[in-house]
Amino acid sequence: MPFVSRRLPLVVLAVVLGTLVGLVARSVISQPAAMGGREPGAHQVNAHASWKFHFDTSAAMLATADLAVEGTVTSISRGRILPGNSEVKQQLKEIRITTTKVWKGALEEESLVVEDAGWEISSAPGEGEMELVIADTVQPAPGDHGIFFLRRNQGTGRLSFINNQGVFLLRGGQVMDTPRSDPLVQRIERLSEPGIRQQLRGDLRLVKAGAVLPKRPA
Amino acid sequence: MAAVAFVCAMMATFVLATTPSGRANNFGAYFADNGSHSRYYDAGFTAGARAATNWTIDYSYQPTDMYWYYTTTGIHSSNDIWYTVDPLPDPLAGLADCRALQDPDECEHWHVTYDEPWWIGAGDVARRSLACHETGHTVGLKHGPYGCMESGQFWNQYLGTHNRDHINSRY
Repeated sequence: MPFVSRRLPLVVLAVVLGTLVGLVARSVISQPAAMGGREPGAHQVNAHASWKFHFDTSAAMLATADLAVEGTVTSISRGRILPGNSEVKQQLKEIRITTTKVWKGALEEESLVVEDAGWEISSAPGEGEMELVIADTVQPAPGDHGIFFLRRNQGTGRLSFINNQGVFLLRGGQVMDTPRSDPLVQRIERLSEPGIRQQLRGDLRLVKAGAVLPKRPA
Repeated sequence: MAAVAFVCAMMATFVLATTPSGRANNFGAYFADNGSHSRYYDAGFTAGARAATNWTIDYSYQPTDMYWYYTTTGIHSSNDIWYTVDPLPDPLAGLADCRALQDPDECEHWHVTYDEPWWIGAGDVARRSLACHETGHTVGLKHGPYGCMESGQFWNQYLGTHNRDHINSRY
């Protein structure tokens, strides 16, 4: 008891310091994992989104993907502006990926371009152009190596990520931990690089055997 | 001994501070700036979009403690939500973006967009579900396994009691 009373101020100090360090660490951890894909100094607009697909298993995601590749992001640039009815137009981001392995689908060239949400251009007074930052997504940056699940637009034939679940960055022998809250993403992000490849090989067997069917968009 | 106690206490507190709360909480992204929520429909907002959005307001959001009303005056700075139907980047079905962040966690003006190609092909339940989901973001609801805020589902068109309780606790 005397020990506890003598050490109490020390323990209180430790608790206060621990809380401060923990809270700072938590705020750092919750920042988006990859910031390099964003334009420095650009005004940003924070957004939440609904995706046309959502998956409970990686096999279902693989079955639904038109293309699943492993590769490295080489560049990110501005793409086309979508036509719109209102004052706000969407400008897409073009992410160029050099592939090292095609897990599913066929690819004529080693390099491909993925379109992703990029910027909102508003003609409303005082709004202007803002970079779209969607919660629960990971934004690959040039130099990032990863596994990407892609879907081809039926109309335009252009590629996009299948949804916010279908991007896994590989770093230091591990699947990189990102702040995405989705349970499937969190399960996969606990895997090592060999682990995710083994998972994909197993999924591919299930898909080829017809045991897992593609999901249709909602 | 003192050093060991110090380090142990610090480590324990660090772990507690960095671990998300165990209590289920899908609330607290960006709250509305107050409990009175106005909405404006863009000129291109179709009759079907109006019907689905009015339905979700009437059946999910009016029963909360918030005050919801429709305005015909389209002034970006004074409308809490500006609804549109426009093409969105693949594979988005809907988007709620905060265009005027007032405080670190309060948003004064939201744009809610339904993806035009998706919207045209969707049925009533899916449309209402999307309207309920995106509107939920404008009051601070995040994705979670509750009602229409569940990610990637387009069959639950209701807010549900969990989300309603969160809204009522704040506004």
